[in-house]
Amino acid sequence: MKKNKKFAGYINLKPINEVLYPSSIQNILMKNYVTEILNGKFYLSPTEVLQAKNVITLNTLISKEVKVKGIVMLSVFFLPFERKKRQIFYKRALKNKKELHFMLDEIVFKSKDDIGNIENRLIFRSSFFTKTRKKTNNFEKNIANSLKTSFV
Amino acid sequence: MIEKKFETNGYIIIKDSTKLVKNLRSKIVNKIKKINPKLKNLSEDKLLNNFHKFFLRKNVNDIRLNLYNSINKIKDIDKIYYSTCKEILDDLIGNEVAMQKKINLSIQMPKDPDSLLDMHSDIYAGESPFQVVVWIPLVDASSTKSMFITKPNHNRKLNSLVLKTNNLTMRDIYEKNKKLFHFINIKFGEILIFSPLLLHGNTINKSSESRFSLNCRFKSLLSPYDVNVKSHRNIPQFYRPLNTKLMTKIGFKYLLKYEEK
Repeated sequence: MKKNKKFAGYINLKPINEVLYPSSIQNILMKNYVTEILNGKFYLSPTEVLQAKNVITLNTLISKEVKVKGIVMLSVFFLPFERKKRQIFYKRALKNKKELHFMLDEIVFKSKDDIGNIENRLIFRSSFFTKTRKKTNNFEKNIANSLKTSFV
Repeated sequence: MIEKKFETNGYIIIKDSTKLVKNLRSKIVNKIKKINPKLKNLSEDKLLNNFHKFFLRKNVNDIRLNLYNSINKIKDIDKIYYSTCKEILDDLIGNEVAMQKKINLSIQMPKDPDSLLDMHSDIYAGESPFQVVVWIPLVDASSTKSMFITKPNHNRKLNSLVLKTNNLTMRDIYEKNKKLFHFINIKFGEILIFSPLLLHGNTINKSSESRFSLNCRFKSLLSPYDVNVKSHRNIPQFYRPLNTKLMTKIGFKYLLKYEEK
């Protein structure tokens, strides 16, 4: 039997760490990843419904009806924000034997052992890491002032 | 001692006591020998220093990209690279680190005008002021075969000039202030760690040898990524977390639980 080497791309127009990737760019990146890295066939890349409460497009892609080996997306940042929804999503992906490839994070999900890796990476979706720093507080000012040299 | 030196000069040079750099160089040289099997009997040093005698200048970037991809595919390359200077990085940035996702390779052939990196500070491209560059030469490098850098006490004036000028180019500023820069003198087996906040760059390699060097950026995992302006120099675009400690995971999972609500 011929192996299924088809991978679907998944476009989401939410910013990744506040960086927005246009759909055309996401499409090119995912297509290259599927053909060059996975040696697979690029199937399709639908876009998530911007107005939807849940990730309906992603849920469609991991359903049995879509005959692909896996789904490629730019980042784990595109996964549902709520932990419970992610748990359901992982279960569905496993049940339907769908791989998940997160290109920028360089993480692949193939079994339940990979869940911890994804969840740990989602730490970096916290505003602590994504917020642009423009000001220092008094504690930080004191640290800076304790150094005599200034590089700028 | 290390901190004092770094604060004064903006960089330090250390010896690679791990011998990992030597192993890394052998891997890279073996890949070059696969590209051109006629070079198989040459010593590593001779091959890299005389690279321009065996390969055409017009092909150098294709070869560099080929080697860059191979280097970044080496198993555990991130951990190997980090291990070469972990102890010093512990002192400078701490032991929970974010590492640039790819290790860069520079090849600078003699008299090649196409591999110039004009005077710059990495912060101009949106990189974090909290980062250091770990720069590993694969051959001895000095004078124009190496890179130039300014000192912290000159950087303030030069930086201000770059940010305010309306009619000078980067090259103008470098040429007019050449005496405020110096070339790094470094041997193979040594590692340069510097703050890329300081203006640095290279000029045409006027020596008769090629320069091969690797570079990669590191910062404290928990220090700010985007400072003053938003860019893509963050996780997951530019950096990867290399070692996240247990309590950091526990703490952030607690924080996220409430952010997610």
